[in-house]
Amino acid sequence: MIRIQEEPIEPERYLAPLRLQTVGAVVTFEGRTRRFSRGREVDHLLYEAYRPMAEQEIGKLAEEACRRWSLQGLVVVHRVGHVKVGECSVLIAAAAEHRREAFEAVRYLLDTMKRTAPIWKKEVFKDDTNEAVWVESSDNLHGQ
Amino acid sequence: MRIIDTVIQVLLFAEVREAAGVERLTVSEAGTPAELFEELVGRYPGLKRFRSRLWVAVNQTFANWDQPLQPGDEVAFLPPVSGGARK
Repeated sequence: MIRIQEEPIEPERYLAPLRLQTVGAVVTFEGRTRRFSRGREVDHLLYEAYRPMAEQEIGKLAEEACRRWSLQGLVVVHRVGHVKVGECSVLIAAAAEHRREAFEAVRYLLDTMKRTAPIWKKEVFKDDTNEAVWVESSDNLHGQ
Repeated sequence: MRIIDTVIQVLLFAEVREAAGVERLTVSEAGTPAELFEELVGRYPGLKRFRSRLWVAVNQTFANWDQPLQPGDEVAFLPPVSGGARK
């Protein structure tokens, strides 16, 4: 299941269906909005997505993960819009018979999705400036 | 023919959207994404500095800057994403 949503993510709602009797491992990654970023206090995050393309790109990655590993369930949920400190911004979970496959699938999705899904993050700081900064990772190959 | 089929839709996101002050516009024609972006820079000079860092998508798929454009195409200019490297 792939979903991009404005409303808060309730992980349990997405994880419960993965707990089949044939499943031996459910690996979950929960990305959360932390209070401090680069030494500054964060007020909130703003996520912006090119939604249809982001869903397609994540869908392609999910298909690839299902080809590579024997999975019984896969969930990717990403927030857009205003995300408060302490909230979940992304949830990735994989269910498999054995833990190795579930771990590897989650790791793969996390790493590749961050590179190819058109979703942008802006940090809005809490200090006097109320400065807001679009965050771009240092390992961005294209920006070299 | 619907109007949407005779023009090229242009979408801007994040920093690029903010620099232009617009998120969506249409142009009547453009040969390639590169030419289209030059035209946008003419309208919104603040976009010029992004050129070397942008990716382009045509109809929601990553594309080359010299890919020929057709009426009805949706062209999106994508600044670097938050998580890291693009392939």
